[in-house]
Amino acid sequence: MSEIEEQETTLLGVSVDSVESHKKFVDENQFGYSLLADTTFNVSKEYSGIMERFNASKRVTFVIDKAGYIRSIDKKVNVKTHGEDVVKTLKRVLPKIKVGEEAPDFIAVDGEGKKHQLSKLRKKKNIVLAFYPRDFGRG
Amino acid sequence: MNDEKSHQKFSEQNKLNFPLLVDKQRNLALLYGAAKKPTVERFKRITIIIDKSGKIVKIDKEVNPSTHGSDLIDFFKNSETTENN
Repeated sequence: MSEIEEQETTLLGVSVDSVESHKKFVDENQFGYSLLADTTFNVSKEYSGIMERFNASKRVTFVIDKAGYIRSIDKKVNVKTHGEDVVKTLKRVLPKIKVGEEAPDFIAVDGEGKKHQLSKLRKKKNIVLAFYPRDFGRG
Repeated sequence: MNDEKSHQKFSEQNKLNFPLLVDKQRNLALLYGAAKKPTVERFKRITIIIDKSGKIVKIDKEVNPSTHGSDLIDFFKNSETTENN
C-alpha cells in the first residue's frame, strides 16, 4: 500500500493528452493510479485552468475529501517533491474523526429541503450528529 | 440514506423537533465513518457529539437505541459539571 493509499486516498491524474498516450505512460512507468484523458478540456477548464501557450492543463493539485469538499488547492506544484508533498498535505488537511479534533464542516438538506451547515449551527449550540440505519423498522 | 419523504413521515409521526438530514450520496457517512463504501445499504449506528467550538468531544460507536436519549442527556449533564469545577 502506498503512502497515499494509507491516507484512504486515491490519486487521479488529469491532462489533455489522449487515452493512448496515457496508457503508454501508465504501462511504461508502472503507474499505480488512474490517468484521465481530458480531451474535451472540460475538467481542466473547471479545475486547473488552461495554459494558453501549450494548450494544456495548468499544473494544479486538488485534495478532495470523502464528502466532496475541496480541502486544499496547490498551484505551485514542485515536480521533484510532489509525491512527498502530497502525503504531507493529506496528513495536514484531511479531516480526522477523533475526540479533540475539529469536526469537518458540511452542508446537508433535511426532509423538507432545508439546508443545514455544521459551522453555522455549532456557534449557537452543541451538536449531536447521529447516524442510524433506517427510518422505519429495527435497522 | 433514506429519502426526503421517508424522513418527513418519520419526523411527523414521531413529532421530532430536530432535523433529519438526507445523505443519499453517503457523503456525510463516509466522512464521519458511518459507511465504508458509497454503496453500503445501511449506515452504522454512530453518534458524534460536537461542542460549540466545533471540536469533536465524543464518538459513540456502541449506541443503545432504547436508552440513546437519556444517555445523551447524561453526557451533557456530566460535561457541564466538569466544566464548572
